[in-house]
Amino acid sequence: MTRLVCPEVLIDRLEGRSLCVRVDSPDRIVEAADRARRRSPWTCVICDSAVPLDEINPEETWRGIAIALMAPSIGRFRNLASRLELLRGLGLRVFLPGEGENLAAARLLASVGISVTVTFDGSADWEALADLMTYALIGPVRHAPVEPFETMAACYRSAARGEDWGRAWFDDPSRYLHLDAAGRVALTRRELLDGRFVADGISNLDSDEVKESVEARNQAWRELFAQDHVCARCASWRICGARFAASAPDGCAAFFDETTQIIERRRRTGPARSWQP
Amino acid sequence: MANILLTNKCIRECPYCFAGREMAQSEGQDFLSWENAVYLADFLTASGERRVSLLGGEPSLHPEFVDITLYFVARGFDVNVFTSAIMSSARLETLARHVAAAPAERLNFVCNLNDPEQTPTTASEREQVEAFLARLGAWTMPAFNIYRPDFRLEFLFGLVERFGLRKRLRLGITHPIAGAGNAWIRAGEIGAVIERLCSYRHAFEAALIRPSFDCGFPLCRVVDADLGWLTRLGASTNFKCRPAIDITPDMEVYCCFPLSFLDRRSVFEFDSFRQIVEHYRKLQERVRTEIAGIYDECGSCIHRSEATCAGGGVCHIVNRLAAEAPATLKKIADDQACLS
Repeated sequence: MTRLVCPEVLIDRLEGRSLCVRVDSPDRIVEAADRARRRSPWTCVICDSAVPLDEINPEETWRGIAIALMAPSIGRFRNLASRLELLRGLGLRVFLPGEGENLAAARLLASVGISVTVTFDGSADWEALADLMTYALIGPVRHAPVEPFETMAACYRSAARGEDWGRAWFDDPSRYLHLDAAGRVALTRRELLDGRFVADGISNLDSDEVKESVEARNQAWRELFAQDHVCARCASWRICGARFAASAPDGCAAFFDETTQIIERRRRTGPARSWQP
Repeated sequence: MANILLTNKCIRECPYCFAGREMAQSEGQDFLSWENAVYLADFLTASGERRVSLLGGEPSLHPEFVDITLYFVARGFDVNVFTSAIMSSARLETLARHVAAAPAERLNFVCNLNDPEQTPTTASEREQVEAFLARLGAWTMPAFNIYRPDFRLEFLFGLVERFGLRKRLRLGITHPIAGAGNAWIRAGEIGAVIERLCSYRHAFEAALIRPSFDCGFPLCRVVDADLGWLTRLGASTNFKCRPAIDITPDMEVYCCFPLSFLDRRSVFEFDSFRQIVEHYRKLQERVRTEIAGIYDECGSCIHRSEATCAGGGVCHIVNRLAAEAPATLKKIADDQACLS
C-alpha cells in the first residue's frame, strides 16, 4: 500500500489512507499521531526540527509513536546523556544531514542505541560515508541500525538489480507519495519542495495519471542506458540504481563498490548484533 | 585498563610530571576526536574491557571533555578521570551539573593534589582546586605523587575531611622519564619513602582512609609489620609493573609514559586490547632480560621469580640503560620494531 507523506492539515481529508504525517515541531507529535490514528491505518510522524536533537525534550507520551525526527545536528552529547534511556525506549529514528560532524554524530548515536539515518546527495563526502557505512554494516560491536545502509543491504541482490533503498528516506514513489498542504502530489520530497507535482489535488491520488508517473519513475533507469549515461556503465549500478545520476556525482562509484563488498562480506560473516539495553 | 589521553595539553608544570616529555614533543592532533572516541569505546568493548581512564595532559582542557566522559559512562564503562581539578568556574559548573546525572559508582575523578608548601602554586589555582573539591568531592579520590623523600601528607587528610572526598588515597612513587629531567624517587630512597608513608598510619586509621599503591613499589622495601598494617587497613598494595597502555589523541599507543619513546604503535595495528597489553608485556620482559630489577638482588629474588613483585618499575631500568648503555636500549627498540 502506498503511504502518503502529508502535512498535519490533510489528516482529516485522507481518512483510510496510510499516513506519514509531517509536523514542524516536536510539540505537534502527539496530537498529530492521535488524530491520524483515529482516521487511518496510520504509519508514523515525521518531525522537521529546526533545532538540534539536544534542544528537543522527548516525552513519555511519545511512546508507541513511530517518529522520524529530522534534526540539523545532535548538539552536545552532555545534554543527551541523561535522556538516553527514554530516547532508546521510544520508536524514534533520528535523521541527520550526512555531512561534516554529523557523520561522527550518527556513529555516536548508534553506538548508544539510538537508531539513526543519514541523508546525502551526489555531493557527499563519499570517503567519510564509506567509513560510516562500514561501521553500520560490519562494526564489531552491537549498535543501533544506521540507515540507509541497512536498507541498502536488505535491497541488494547479488545477481540482479536491487530494490530501491530510497524507502529509508521516504524517497521511493512505489511506496511513498508526498503531498503539500494543498493536496498536490509529488513523487519525492525534493520534487515537492521544487514544485514539481504529478497531480494537483487529493481527488487525483488514485488517478491513472499518478499511477503512470510512478511507473515511469520506476522504469526511468532504462532511459540512462538508452542515453549511454555514465551511470549505466558503472559497476555499482546494481546497488545505487543511478540515484545520483542527475547530479553528476564524483566518487559515488567507489563508495557503492565498497558498499557492495561490505554487504557481501556481511552475508558471509553475519551482522554485528543489534543494540540491546 | 586503557588510559586514553584526551589531550596533550596541561595547565600545570609539576616537577615530577610523567607526561612532560610527551607534551613537549607532541606533533599530533591536540584533542581526541569523536570518531576516535567511538572507535576506542568499540575496540575496548569488543576486547571485554569495562574500565577506562581518561587523562592528559589535563583532560578537562578538551573542549568536549564533559561529553566524552559521559559518553564512556553511557557506553557502560567504569570511568576514572585523572585531573588537576584546575578549571574555570564556568567549566566546573557545566561539569558538576552534568555529572550529577551519572551513576556515582561508575565515574571517579582521581584528583592529583600537590602539597601547597612543597609544590607551591598560585592562589588562583588553589581556589580552583578547592572549588572543584567543594562541588565534586563525593566523586573524587585524592591522589598524591611522591617525588621527594621528605614528602608530607597532612594537607591531604585535611582535604579529605573538609570536602568529603572518597576515602581511598592513590599514592604513586614518581618515576624517571629518560631525558626529561623530571624529579623522581631514586631506588635507594624508596625504602625511606615507604617508611615515611607508613609513619602516617595513625592518621590513615583515624580518617579511615585506605592507601592505594600505584605501580612500581618494590615489596622488599615494605617491612612485614607495615605490610600487615596495610593489609588490615584494607589498603590496595601493588608491587607490580604492568603495561599501563596509554593511547594518544591521534591514536598512537605505547606501554606507559616513561617507555613512550621505545615502541610507539598505532591502535589500528591491533585487533584487541589484550593484544596491545601482550605486545608491551613482551617489551617489559625484553628490558628485564638486560637488568632484572631496580636492585642488584632482584635477579635472584624469589618474589620476583614468583611474580609477587616486579622488581620495581621497568622505567628505572630504561632510565639506567639510557644513561649507561644506550646501544642496548636501541637494540631493544629495534627488536621491538621487528615485532608485527
